[in-house]
Order: sequence, then structure tokens, then C-alpha cells
Amino acid sequence: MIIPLYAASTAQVATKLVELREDGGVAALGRVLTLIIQCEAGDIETSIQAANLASMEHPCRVIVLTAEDLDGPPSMDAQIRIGSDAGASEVIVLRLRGAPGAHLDAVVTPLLLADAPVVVWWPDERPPVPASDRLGRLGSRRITDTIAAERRLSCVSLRRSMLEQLTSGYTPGDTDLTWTRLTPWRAQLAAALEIPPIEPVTSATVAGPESGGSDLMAAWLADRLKVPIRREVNDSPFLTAVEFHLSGGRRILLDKEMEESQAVLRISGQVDRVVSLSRRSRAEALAEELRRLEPDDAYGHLVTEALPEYLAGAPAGGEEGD
Amino acid sequence: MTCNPLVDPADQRVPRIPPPCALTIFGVTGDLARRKVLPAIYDLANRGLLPAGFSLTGVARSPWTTQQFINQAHAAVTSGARTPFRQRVWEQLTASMAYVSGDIADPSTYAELRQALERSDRDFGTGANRAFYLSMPPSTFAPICGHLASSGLAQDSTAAKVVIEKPFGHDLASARALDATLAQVFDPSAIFRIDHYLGKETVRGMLATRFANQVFEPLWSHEYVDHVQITMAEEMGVGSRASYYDQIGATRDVMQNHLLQLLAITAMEGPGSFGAADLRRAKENALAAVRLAGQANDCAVRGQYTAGWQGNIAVPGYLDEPGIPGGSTTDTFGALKLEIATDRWQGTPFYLRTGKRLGRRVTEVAIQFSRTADQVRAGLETRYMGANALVIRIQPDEGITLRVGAKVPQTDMEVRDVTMDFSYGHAFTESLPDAYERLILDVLLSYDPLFPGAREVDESWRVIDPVEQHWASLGGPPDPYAAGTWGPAAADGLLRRDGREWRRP
Repeated sequence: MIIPLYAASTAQVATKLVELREDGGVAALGRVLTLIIQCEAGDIETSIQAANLASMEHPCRVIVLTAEDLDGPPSMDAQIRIGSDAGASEVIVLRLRGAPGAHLDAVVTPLLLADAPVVVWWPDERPPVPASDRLGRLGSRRITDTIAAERRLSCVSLRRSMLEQLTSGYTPGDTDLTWTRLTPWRAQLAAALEIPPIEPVTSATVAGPESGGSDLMAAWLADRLKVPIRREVNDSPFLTAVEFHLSGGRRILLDKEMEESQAVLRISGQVDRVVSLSRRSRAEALAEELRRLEPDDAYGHLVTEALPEYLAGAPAGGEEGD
Repeated sequence: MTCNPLVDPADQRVPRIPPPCALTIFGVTGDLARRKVLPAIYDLANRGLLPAGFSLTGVARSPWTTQQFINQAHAAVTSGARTPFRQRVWEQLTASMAYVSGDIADPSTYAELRQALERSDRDFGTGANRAFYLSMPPSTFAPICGHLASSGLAQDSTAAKVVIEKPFGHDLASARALDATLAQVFDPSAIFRIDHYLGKETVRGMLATRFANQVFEPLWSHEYVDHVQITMAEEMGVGSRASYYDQIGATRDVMQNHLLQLLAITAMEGPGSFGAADLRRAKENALAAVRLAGQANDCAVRGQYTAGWQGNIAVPGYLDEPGIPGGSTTDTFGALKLEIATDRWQGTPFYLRTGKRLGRRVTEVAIQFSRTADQVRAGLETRYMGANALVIRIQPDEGITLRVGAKVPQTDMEVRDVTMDFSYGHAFTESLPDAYERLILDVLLSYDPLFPGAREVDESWRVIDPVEQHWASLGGPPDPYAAGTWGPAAADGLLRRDGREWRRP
């Protein structure tokens, strides 16, 4: 059910929510968090779709905000979506025009669930410093998606500056879906190093596009393994392979094939093994983010220490592949 | 494992994927394998949690080919899996599947199994890491283990594990004998006893409820708790398990394992950590302190269902079920009054009950609190108010209910029960991982806090044995109860003597 409220006030929206809850019973009682999404008008539906899927795992109140025409006359159109239009959540869409668009924190304050944690997600454009953004200040977790923003940036130096934003603007509680999308890779790589015979890694190669995702993977490996990391640049849209060179001369190669959900693990002297390695949807990545609401210290270490160190050592164009 | 540079304890996102393993399931054509184990393995594959280098070999008597086994497994997975069916995942899994048809007493079965496993090591890189899942009656464990040992399948590596299902014996002596049989071939740390209740998220959640909440933990003792009720009720009758069930009965079938494990988690002291060793020690200590709260005659009730109505369906009595011998004295209902000899629980009885053909399907732990002194002193109108209760619902509708009193509007000071309700289904996920998914993954990871250890099994039989002996000495039929009710009158009497009542779950 979608209930439109044109030229509404937040008080009217809040009243309507209470009414719906009294009419319909328990809606909102089991909600564990408020998820605020700030996006562009064109991205409302896809963002809600991702949030609804993620809400199957984490029922939440979703508040979607768009702000346009900040200099125009102030107005707000709202929608409340419940039932089949809202997954396991309830969705409030607020489309703002004029001055209130510069005060989104005030707009959402009456609509936050009492006590429950607040998570803010910017599906496309990210504020330079999420934690000092007006909405970001409300959240204990702030989720950005530099890959989405990066797609519009073809120039390597601009991309670098996006990555540098992860570093310079970092505050505990920040995370980025670029990192989340690497989790299945990281799990398989960690498991691969536990397949006997176990030998130290002496160097590693990351193959994939010139992208923030490849950079983060390389920085993580450099930091954890303390070995040189080579980059092999190709024009695939996503990471394609990671290879470890072991002290005994053997190699471990995790090679993502074209097929969506699989990869091949090639270890010298052993039979090739097919492993599961899915490309994460935005909803799956978001659901992972909502699983833990405390700051991700490992990510913090990565972006504040490992990534700058890696970027300082690697030339902007990446090393030549062979 | 800790030397893996890519594993960082601070990095909690990365799920652990087990090392390579060849899993062999004995009795793969059986009910449990089809309903639970095969779907759980598919779900693990779908979630990307099976090892790189995994193979699944089924062993059973049916004269199937591997392709027939795969077809059967396909039917089991499409009807039983939790996650959506994906053709590529299925193809990857089936590529590693093999079937060995044969008798478990015949050495040639193991020769063939050996070939299958060597092929799997060669083709799928399972690397001689083997897990044997015995989805079979306990009487077969000895021959299977013997043949596994003599054929070298369980001994040519340090990485052989065995997984068994309840019943873990039928009394203390048989449990020990069973254990000795397994221990001849497998290291105690490589024996995984599955009590699927311990794989349920809600049971894990009990630890958090108890130990993470200041509003509960200080109340968790005889000072504030009047008594505890643990109920596992089934709607189903004996079904297709007649011949097995008739030899075992309700008390041995579920009281000895599921209910006493729930009791252990409810009653134990705070473990030093939530690691395997500490958790197990805490449970062992709790079980070691459990005893019947008096003579078996006064503290144990057995029942057997007669014909009745399960909702709108007329159902036959136990003695009329197909496969049940006339005059059987098997208990389909058991209730016990136990006490726990620790400072924490001095004088607080734990009432346990389980049965088939009860009012509805429910498993729950109810902590019944004492009444406040003010209820009496200040003359609150509490006739319509029960005592406060905290109910942990294990299944279905997993969650927690807290029952408190509230004043009825427009009365002077009339207090009535209201409930505060928390449901996992609402607050977290729509689809909790199945207990078997969790437990099979833990076997592959050799992560064992959720598996009852040999001493826990022993302590449980120590509690149950005198009751069974008492019932055996009585002879005669158990107390009858009509199907669809909450058990025999004697079970109500067990609490009524103490001035208490069973909850209606």
C-alpha cells in the first residue's frame, strides 16, 4: 500500500504513521533500526528496492530523502509505503524543494524510531566527510558507495581523490560498499591460504580494472601479507583474479570466470577447484552492512593506514602487467 | 590457523570457509538425510560456505547409480532447501557427488568407498580430509567404524571426523559402550554428536538473552525465580518411526538430549567465555548438579496417547498406530520434576515435559518469577494476574515474551497480565539458517561448542536412568491422555502438589 501525502508536513507524516500502526496492529514494533537514504530523484525506486530486500534480514524504517531546487519555494511531498510495497520495512519517501532541503536532519528527526540505531546510506553521491554531514551526524553508521560515484569518473586522478576522501574523511562508523563487495573474495582468499601445504606468500598480483575496488583489495593484501603487490590492469568492469606467489615457487590463483557465481581456485600441483564467488548485488552488500552496527575497525585501519601507504607506493597508473 | 595472515580477529565480515573435505553420508537414502542434511548442504553451497575442494559421497543399501542418487538429491533439495535453487550451484555440487551401493557389513562396500574417496581426492582436491556422517541406527556404528578402520579410510590421516545423531545410547551403560566404539577409531575431538536443537539460532540466542541483559541476569536465580518449565510438545503421532520409537519412548527420545540441553543452557553459570571449552564446561557442571527432586514415583510421570482430536482431525490412539504392538507400555509423554544442586537454584524446581499428540507444536523455556511482596501487602487486585514470566520460544515463532501486570483502565487498582513480545522473525531475518546448516558447517570447520560432549551425554543418562528403571519396574500401561490435550492428569498433579500449574503454551 502506498499512501501519498502532498504538500505535507513532517508532523502529518508522523501522525499518519501512528494511525497506520494503530489500525494495522504491530507494524514498526520489531524494527531494529532506521535507515536513512539520501539519493537523487531518479534513484529513489532502485534504492528502495535494495533497502526492501535488505530489510528481509533487518526489518527497519526506511526514510528516503531527495532535495531539489534549494532556492525555489519550499514544499514537501511524502509517501508512506507499507505491506507489499515495503518488504519487511516501512518506507517513508520525502521529496523536498526549497530551503528545507538544506536541513534534512531537522526534517527526519521527528520520524526516527525511538532509541533504535540510525544508519545513513548515500547510494550515489557521497558527502566529502560523511560524519560531519547533517544527516551523517544522526547516524551511528554511515554507508557510502564510491564505486557508484566512481563510474562517472573516467580520470584516474579524480578516482584517486575519491579514495583519498575515504581516508581523509574517515570517522569510526563509516563504511563503503566498495569494501563490502570484496568480502566474498576475501573469504575465499583467506580459505585458500589454509589449504595444505601451507607456505608463506612472497608476492601477490591483483588483476582487474583501474578502480577503487582493485585498489582496496591491493591495499588490504599489502597490509596483511607485507609483501609487494603487483597490479595487472584490464578493462573488465570488476576484479578478475588474485594470485599469490609462495616461497616454494608454487602459485595460488583465484580466477573469477565469466559466470556470475563461480571462480576457479588453481593451486600449483593440485587439481583445479571450482569455488562459489558471487558478484554482490547492492541489496546483498547493504544487508551485510546492516548486520553489524558497531564501527568496523578493520576497515578503519585499511582506509586510514593501509590505503594511504599503498597509494603512496603505487604509481597512479598502476604497474605494468606482463 | 591463527598464522593465516589474511585472518584478522578484528575483521568480522569475513565468513570462515572450511578447509577441503570429502563428506560421506551413510544412510543417505534415509528420511533425515533427505529432509535435512542434503538441503542443508545445498544451502551451504549456495551461500558460498562449502570448502574449495568438497565432495559428497552417499552410501546406502538401495541399488542406485550415482545418477539416481543425484536425482533423489535434487528432489530433496528442491523441496527442502531454504535458499533459492540455482542451477549452476547445483551443477557444481553434483559434479562432486558419488554413490556407493552396498551393505555396511560387507568389506567390499568399503573398498568401493575407498575408490570413490581416492577419486575425490584426485579430482576435487579434497586432500584426504574426511568426514563420515552416520545417519544410521546406533547398532550399525560398531560395524561401520570397524570397517572404516580396517579399510584404512579413517586412519590414513589425522583429519577424519565422525558425525552421529541421537540416540546416544539408551542408558548410561550403552552410551559409554557407544562412545568406546567410536573412540577406538576416532579422536574424541573428532566425534561430533548432533543435537539439532543446539544449532537453532534461538538456542544460541538464549545465551545472549541471559548474559547480555542486566534486566534479566540478576533475576536469574532462586531468589526471584519460583520455578522453570521446559516444554517440547509435538502435534504429530509416532508416524513412520513406529518400530524405532516403540523401543525408545518420549523420555529417551527427546528428554535425555533436547530438554536437558535446554535445561543446561538455562541453568548454567556464566561461562568464562563463549568459546567451546568454557561453554561445554559450564553445561557439564550444570548437568552434573541435576537430580530428580525426590523419589521417581513422585517426580516422574509417563503417559500414552489415546484416540482423540488433533484440532479438527480425528486421530487414533498410540496402540492403534500401524506398527505398534498391542499392549505396548512405551511412553509417548514424559514429565519430570528436577532440582539443581547449586547455590543459584537451591529450592527452585525445573519441570520438564515432552510428548506426542499434544495440544500444539511448541518448544519453549518459561522462567516463572515469584510474586512481589507488594501484591499481597498493598492489596493489589491481582486475582487475574499470573506471576511474571519470561518465555523463550524456541519454535515455532521464535522469540521472547515477557509477561507483566498492568492496571486495567477505569478500574481502581485492578491488575491484569499483558505481554511484551519480541519475535526474531520481525526483528531480524525472515529466514534463519537451518540448524543443520549451522551444524554441518561447524563440523567442517571443526568448531564444536554446539555439540554435546561425552560427559554431557553421560550426565543426562544419569538423570534419566532411574526414571526409566522405575517405570520398567512398575510395568503396566502409562497414564492415558487423549490426543490433542496437554498430557495425562498425573502431569497436572505433579505441579498441583506444589501449588503450581503448567502454562498453556
